[in-house]
Amino acid sequence: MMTVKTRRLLTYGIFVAPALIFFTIVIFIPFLRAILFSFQDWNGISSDIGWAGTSNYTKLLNDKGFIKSFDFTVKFVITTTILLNVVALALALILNLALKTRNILRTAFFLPYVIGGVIIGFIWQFIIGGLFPEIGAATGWAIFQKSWLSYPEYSFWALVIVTVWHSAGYFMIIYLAALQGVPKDMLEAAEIDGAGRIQRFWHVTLPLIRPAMTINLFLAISNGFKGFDLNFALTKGGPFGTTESLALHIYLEAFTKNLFTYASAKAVIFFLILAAITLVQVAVMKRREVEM
Amino acid sequence: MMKKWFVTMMVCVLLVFSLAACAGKAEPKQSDAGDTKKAPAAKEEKVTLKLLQFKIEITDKVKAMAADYMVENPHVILDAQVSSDYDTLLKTRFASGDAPDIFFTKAFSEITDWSDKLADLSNEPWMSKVSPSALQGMTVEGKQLGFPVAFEGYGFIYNKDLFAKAAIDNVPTTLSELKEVNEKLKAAGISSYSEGYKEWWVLGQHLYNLPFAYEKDPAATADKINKGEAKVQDVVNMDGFFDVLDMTLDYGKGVESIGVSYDNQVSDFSTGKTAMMQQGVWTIDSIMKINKDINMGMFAIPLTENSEDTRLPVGVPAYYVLNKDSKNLEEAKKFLNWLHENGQKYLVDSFMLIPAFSDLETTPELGPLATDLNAYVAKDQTIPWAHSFWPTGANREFAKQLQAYVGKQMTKEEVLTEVQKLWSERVSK
Repeated sequence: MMTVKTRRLLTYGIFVAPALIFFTIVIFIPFLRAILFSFQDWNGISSDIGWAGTSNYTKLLNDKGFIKSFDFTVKFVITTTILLNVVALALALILNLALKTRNILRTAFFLPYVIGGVIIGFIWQFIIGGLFPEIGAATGWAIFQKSWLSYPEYSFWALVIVTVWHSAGYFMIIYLAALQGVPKDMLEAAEIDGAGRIQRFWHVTLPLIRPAMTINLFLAISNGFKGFDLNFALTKGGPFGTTESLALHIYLEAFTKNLFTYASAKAVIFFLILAAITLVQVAVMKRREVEM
Repeated sequence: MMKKWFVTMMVCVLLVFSLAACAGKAEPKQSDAGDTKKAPAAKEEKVTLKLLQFKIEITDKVKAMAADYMVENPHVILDAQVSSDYDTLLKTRFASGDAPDIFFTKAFSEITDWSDKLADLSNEPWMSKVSPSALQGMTVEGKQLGFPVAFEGYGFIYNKDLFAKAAIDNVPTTLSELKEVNEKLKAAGISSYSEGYKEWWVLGQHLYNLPFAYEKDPAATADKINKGEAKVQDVVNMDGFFDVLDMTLDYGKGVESIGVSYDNQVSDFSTGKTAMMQQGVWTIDSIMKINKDINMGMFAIPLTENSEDTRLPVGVPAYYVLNKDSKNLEEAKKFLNWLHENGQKYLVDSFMLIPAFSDLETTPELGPLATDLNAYVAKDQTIPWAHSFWPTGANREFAKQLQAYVGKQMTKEEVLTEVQKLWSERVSK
């Protein structure tokens, strides 16, 4: 006769096992293998794999390309994180009002998120390369007369704009859900106490949607760091490598230069940085969340 | 607390499942191949040959060829796959133990990288018919490892009607003649270029190949740079290269050329917006699709004032190679033999490639670019694709430096210093 305790353990095990097995096979083992690779010397092709000690890591310290793409990625993450959250929150606030068209609008804003990043990249390549010059010719605005993908500054903003356009809908949905969870009676109580619109938003709504902010900041930061498909399809890392994200940089290193193990070392460092940043972010935000 | 934990767990499960779904897409194919291999074995001895290659523009034709082969050889299943993300896929297939039997590699550095996995084809019956200029690129340590798929070449493709409009009678064969052509086009109000310098290979591989290919002995020069006995700056025609690069900017889109993609470049040329483009024979289909009445030709890009120096870069874009650990190596060899015997039908007439075998003929159906290419080959006015001697993957890095030059971020001297540095770093690795 099974005790309740063992039965509970068994149920628990059965439910967790599939996830655990997949996680081990698909993520954990390759992850360990990558760490091992980072101490080896291999071009990804030949049959014998040599040992490199820590030389991959020491070489990394002076790698201008890596530092450059790290620099780009950080700037990109900061810009997109701020813009995404501001835009998404603004959209959510508007669409939380009793608008007639709000369901259509919600769908419309969410729609881009359903399209894959590579396809988005190609579509925007045509918009930026074909439509912008037309707008420029029609309106005479200097900003649209330039070929955006030819200049580093403009390419950067092209990526930011497309990213925000792409993901804002998703972030908006998370904010919307949180906004709808804000109890009406609290807002009414605040109103009766004489709080204005802005005060109500700042002191009542905002603290109550902190959990959504935690999630959205986390998503924006980690997606920003891992950005690959847009850079790959829209700018190809150009002009002259100024928009090469870390993920793209590592991919190119491994698969076009055949520096497989060196790229693994970069990937490990990348993982450590990303893990550190997101852990700190979540920990800090969690502390500021308000329990109901 | 418990609830929160449960939600976290559910999210993990969902994430893992979505990941598994992504991975799952690739898997059925593999198990399919495995099943077909096992199932018919019970009835009779069926062998599966797995072929993997790039050149997605001829995917249908490759599959048709495979179907024909299976009809003629009922005991073989030829599983042909054509991929655009070829390098990644090939390495993944090898790493996962699902290595193809027949696949593509590029010349020189790349075939050397792969050489310890490749079967020696030196004694195959068709080897004696391979054109001499296709041999060097696949010879590693005295062994011939590849079956050349085609010859390809590139230069300035030009619009004959626009040239006539600008009263240009002959194609330029020296730098100053090229300049003159550009001036005449400008006077006639025709834009010369809209070069696709967004693509690393247009700038960093094909155009930058020229000074290295124009060396007397390109392999020796590359070797000297590898050993540190020479520098990139010592390459004789480097100035000529920058002169040509400057012309493509001054008579083209200038700084904005780095935002022009391959598609833009080809469409601008095909629609008659530009008179020239630096491209190769592979563009023929794309051009014809946009404008099938275009009257065009191709000429070699000069880097000097001596017209006798001017030659066209001709190379083999890919070799079929055989995996030496394949269980069906003999069957794979038979396939290559068959492909050579039927080369005229498949390689030339169907794939529309310029044959790299002496017993196969270039036909007029291949179009004006192939005809012009052939004229250079017949006169022996060709130079190799010397970029194949560069360290693997260096082409993309070089392209970035040159893009920075185009974008006026770096001077000529800075570019060369940077290229030299990148090269030495890669060699000393």
